Amino acid sequence: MMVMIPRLLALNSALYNGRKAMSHGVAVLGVGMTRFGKMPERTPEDLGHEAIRAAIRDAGIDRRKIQAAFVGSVYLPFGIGQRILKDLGLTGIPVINVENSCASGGTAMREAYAWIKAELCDVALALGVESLSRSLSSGMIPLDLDDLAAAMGLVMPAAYALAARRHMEEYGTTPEQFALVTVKSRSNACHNPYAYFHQELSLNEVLASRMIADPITKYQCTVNADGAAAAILGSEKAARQYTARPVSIVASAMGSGKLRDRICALEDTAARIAHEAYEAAGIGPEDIDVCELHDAFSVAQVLYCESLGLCPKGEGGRYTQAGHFDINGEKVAVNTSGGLLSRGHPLGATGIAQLAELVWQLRGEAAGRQVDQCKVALQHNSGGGVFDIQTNACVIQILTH
Amino acid sequence: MEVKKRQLVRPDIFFFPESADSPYLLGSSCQACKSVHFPPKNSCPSCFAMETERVALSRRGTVYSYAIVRQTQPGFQAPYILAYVDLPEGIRLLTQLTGVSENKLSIGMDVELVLEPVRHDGDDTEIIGFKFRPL
Ligand SMILES: [Zn+2]
Repeated sequence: MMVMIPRLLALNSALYNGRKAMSHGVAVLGVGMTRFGKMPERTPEDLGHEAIRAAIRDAGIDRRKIQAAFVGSVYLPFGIGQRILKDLGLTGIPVINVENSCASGGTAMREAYAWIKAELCDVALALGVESLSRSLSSGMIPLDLDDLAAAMGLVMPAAYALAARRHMEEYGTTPEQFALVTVKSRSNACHNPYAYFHQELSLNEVLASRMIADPITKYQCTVNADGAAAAILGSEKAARQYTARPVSIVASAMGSGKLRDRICALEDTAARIAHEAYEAAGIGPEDIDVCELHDAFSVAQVLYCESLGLCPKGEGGRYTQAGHFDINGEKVAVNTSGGLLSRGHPLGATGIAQLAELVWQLRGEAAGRQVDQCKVALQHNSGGGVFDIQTNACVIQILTH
Repeated sequence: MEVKKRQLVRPDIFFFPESADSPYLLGSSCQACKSVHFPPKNSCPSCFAMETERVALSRRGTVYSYAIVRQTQPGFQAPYILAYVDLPEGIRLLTQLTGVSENKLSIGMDVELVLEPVRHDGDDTEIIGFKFRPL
């Protein structure tokens, strides 16, 4: 189902209304992250410290202004937030640890947003951190065999391969079109100093890499990584006080998937949450200049571009091939950072790394990969694992500068 | 590897009629709203009612989509074919296809239920799951 959002208001008036309605508006004051990659020698504390210090420096605030911290990770031990924060002198404040599968970072950020929105605090830290080199012994994220689908042989790439096959049948999408997502992703990542991969890949190289679950080849899967990303969020008051270049969060929507064993109850969860976000922001998909979406597999980028309304249903492959999602292409620049495919995927850190990329884009600081006239950004962070529902958590946020 | 034990992937999802040689999958049907779910539930996710009964599901369905898995978890033997199969009850199952070669696979093909091993647990235990094969 394609998201049909009427363009309710011209962009300027939408932004004006957004501001007016947001007496408790929330802004991003600063962001920071480590480079993502394989760093088994680095502890989660070490990674977290680097990201938090970078975000605080970027926000230009005194660390003692932080009144609450939200820390997203999937595989790190309980109390990881407190463990990281204690040596930065960020103690005594509420610390909330968040696990929400691959959307742990996005969830942590949205919790910080919600606390500020509810005036429980003025300034909050959101951190995402993961060390898959230390937490996992093998390359594939292990699924719980008590989940019947996993017990029957489901693995994550296959879940997307099933969707890909159906898309090919219904819309004529080709394996080459899926593979082109990775070609674009690697090309963008070459200009992102924080990305895992800095080498271009040709279409032939992507197609010829090892087959994982037809039509998904190795280079069309994200890679496990280590890393951390942090953001300092604040109220409008705090934004006026501490920064000259705040980025406003004009919508933050979140949900989980619905039970999907009955055909009559099937839905596109990302489309539903995106609709909520667009409604809340008074902005439509045609207003988006840059988008970071959750492309754990090439196929996911094609599907989510459709779910988010960035192209008509069924056209994701053809739009990709036409270059419409390229930096300064015809439509929306998608995953200028390289996305999960090329930035790498330290699960809990990904949602906040997406935010960091969008903040840099909106502030005009994404050197080498900057989108021209970049004013409105969309973030989509998603986490699965409970197969009977489409997604454990889907976070969609709209940002403006 | 010598298989010493065979175990069902989940004991509560199969029905073996005494009179027939073919097993059935079990769903749950809500006494209140008649919604059918699989795997079977003890209460109804659709309407919250507490009373459900076990119902044998159709042994035949059609393939909604399929995927050839070439890299998988420990215990499974790749390659194998995963599929969504739609049953007349309006249920979509995640299952495996068997008895069909890769180049004969197609969306919409008619298939029927069989029980077959899906993986090994440890050295000597075979886990039996439900698969579908072309009619
Ligand atoms: Zn019911």
